[in-house]
Amino acid sequence: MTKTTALGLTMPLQVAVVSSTRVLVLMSQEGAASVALVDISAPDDAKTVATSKCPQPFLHWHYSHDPARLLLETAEGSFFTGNIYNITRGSNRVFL
Amino acid sequence: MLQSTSETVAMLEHPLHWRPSGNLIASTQQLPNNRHDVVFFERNGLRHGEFSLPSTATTPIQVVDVAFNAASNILMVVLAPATVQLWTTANYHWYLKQQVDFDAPVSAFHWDAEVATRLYVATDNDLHTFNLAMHVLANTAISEANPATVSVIDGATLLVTPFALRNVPPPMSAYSIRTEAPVRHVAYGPTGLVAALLSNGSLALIEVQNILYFNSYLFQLGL
Repeated sequence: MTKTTALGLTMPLQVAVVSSTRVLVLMSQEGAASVALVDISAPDDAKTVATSKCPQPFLHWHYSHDPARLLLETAEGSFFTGNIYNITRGSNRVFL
Repeated sequence: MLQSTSETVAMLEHPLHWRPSGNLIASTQQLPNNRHDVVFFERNGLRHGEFSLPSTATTPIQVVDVAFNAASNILMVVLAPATVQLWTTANYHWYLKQQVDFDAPVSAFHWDAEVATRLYVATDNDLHTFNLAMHVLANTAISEANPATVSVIDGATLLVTPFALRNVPPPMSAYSIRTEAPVRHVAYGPTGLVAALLSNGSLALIEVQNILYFNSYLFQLGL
């Protein structure tokens, strides 16, 4: 059974399932990484609940369920981390 | 000095690219019923395989160009007005691994001469640099219920095989899932959920049920 929802995201690149109700989508916008947190509790009506930006182009990403940290490695060799649950409280949060 | 000439191929089109490894020459061919093929020739001019580009009955395909990367393992097909497809081959099957639909017409495209997995695409608005990497889409969850599912992207079809239950060799698969647009990336959830990111910006959620366990029955018929 497949349920598809149009999220309207720009240049989505990768997806990661972090829980039964949350999905992270990694995007590339204007040369920088961007992450969207998507609520999939209603599979036929998934919604983007928050977005967050990394100021540099990314090279690799990794997430962990506990303590719900997101790690972005940039092409310049620097790392940016963020708390997945912080993203839900505000949009356009920069990873620091 | 002329070495060889191929037989006449009807509706052969303008794209022409010699694979850097030297064994194939790629071009495209129009066929009836809105079919459009990428065709290959050997160095002696003989036909050597082909594959069809995905098309719809209403929208005809217009191929701009084809080009292999420097390592000869990725074939880029540029479609008008703003689509780039990346194809790879394995086991004599061509897979549409990625499709990128830009928001402006593609004006130029070029593979990096030194880094074989780097692709430059210029549109009327932006310059895009793609760094490509091969990635195995496997379910690595630490769970007894993990059926060791591996997915293979083939355009708008996701080829899925739970290797803990069925050992199906590629290019075949245990089962396939059709999506409304080419698949870009796949992730697995903790409870049999498969999330497929599509090239049109959509998210497809696939609930995989009743495939983890197969029951077999032996009936003895009394005669």
